[in-house]
Amino acid sequence: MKGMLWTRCLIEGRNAEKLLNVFREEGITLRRVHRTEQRSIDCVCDRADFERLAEIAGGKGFAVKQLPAFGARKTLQGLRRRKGLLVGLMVFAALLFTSMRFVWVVRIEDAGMYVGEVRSFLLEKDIKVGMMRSKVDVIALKEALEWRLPKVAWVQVEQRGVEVVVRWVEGVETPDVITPGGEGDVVADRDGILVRLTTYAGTPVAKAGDLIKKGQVLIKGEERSKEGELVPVKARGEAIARVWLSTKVELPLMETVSVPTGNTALRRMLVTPVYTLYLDAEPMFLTSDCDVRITTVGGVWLPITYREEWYEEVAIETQQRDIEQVKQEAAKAAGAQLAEKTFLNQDLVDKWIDFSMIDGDTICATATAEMLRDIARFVKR
Amino acid sequence: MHAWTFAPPEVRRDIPRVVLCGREEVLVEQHEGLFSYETRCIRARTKSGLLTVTGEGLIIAHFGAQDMLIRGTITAVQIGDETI
Repeated sequence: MKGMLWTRCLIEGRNAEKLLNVFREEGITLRRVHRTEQRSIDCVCDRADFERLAEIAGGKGFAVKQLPAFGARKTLQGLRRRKGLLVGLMVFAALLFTSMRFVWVVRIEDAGMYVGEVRSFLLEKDIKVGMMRSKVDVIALKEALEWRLPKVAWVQVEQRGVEVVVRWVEGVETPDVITPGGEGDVVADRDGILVRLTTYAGTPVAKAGDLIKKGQVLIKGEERSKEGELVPVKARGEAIARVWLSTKVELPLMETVSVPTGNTALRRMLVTPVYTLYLDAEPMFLTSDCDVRITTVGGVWLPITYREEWYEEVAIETQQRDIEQVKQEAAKAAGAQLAEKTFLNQDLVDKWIDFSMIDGDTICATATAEMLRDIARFVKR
Repeated sequence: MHAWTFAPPEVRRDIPRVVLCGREEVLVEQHEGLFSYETRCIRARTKSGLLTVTGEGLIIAHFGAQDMLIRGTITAVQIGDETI
């Protein structure tokens, strides 16, 4: 606190710089040193150092005068002189502090036509202007108001400074159950595992995680009324479930190929629109591949052609295809079919392809997609 | 004191440290007393010679045993024969 108390002084005399150096050697710190005239210096020193400063200056032949205070000290000194003002300020502060301990406003918000009822309740509980703030138990008041007024949606009682504020909002009665389209249940339109069931109307009878079979009731079309009776309603809701879609493609593992035996034959002929002249006999091959070459002889006005048929005898054999290649083809076909069914992979969780062998000569590829779908379907009773 | 100590040179050699803040303030550390004081020129003794601060409306905001803070509109700071 020593540093907070300053004394302003005026030092007069020749060569004040020397005196300042003496102060420095003595450990007296000066502030705001400025020259006012040729032979005088105005400065500020710690109040505790002033006496020593004056003594040193006096010993060196300098005159030291204490100047009026400034800043906060000046204000304090002014207050000391005006004792009435100081007392007034203190009384004002005490009154302000005391007044803050009382309730000055009791306000009721949003109570609508029940303002009078809330106000009479507050009077019963002795909540009024002028009471001590510490005697207002807002929690007890809130609970009492809820019991007293059962139609309330919610009540808030709070202290805002010197105010007690009661906010009271009336509850809105639920409307009668409307069942356009008749009563009915919500059932599952396919198998799946239920992930989420949101009920808008009716009573849910399934829960998330249940294995659902097609046609199983998910939301029953009935609700309990205010009187406790079961009322038939039109069940509505959303049932998100994990469902599976699959497509199957079968491809034979064996294929039939023709293998040349090495025997060939040529059969030539002249062909007209009404007659064919065979120049060679028909080859006696059981199975053969045939290559035909036709040469026009007569032109447009004389439709005669020369025809050569090259026969190559072949044997028909059955051989096994590469199993991996068959699998790839089957998987590709099954995936394409699945993509058509799943419609742009919406809500697709996972997909995979399984392979199986049928009778040792057919590869079956099954593409399966796991998706999230709403399986709720309304069924009228 | 040895040359390899980590102390800064102004501490090792007891020379003044002068910090100029814009044109408004000069902090002089390790001065050895006031030589002269006018509102346009303040001179202080240091180990490196006479430090001269020139300007307008100069006041000594703080005058301690080791340090001195000069405020005003500073135009030049000179130590010995050199102008900083």
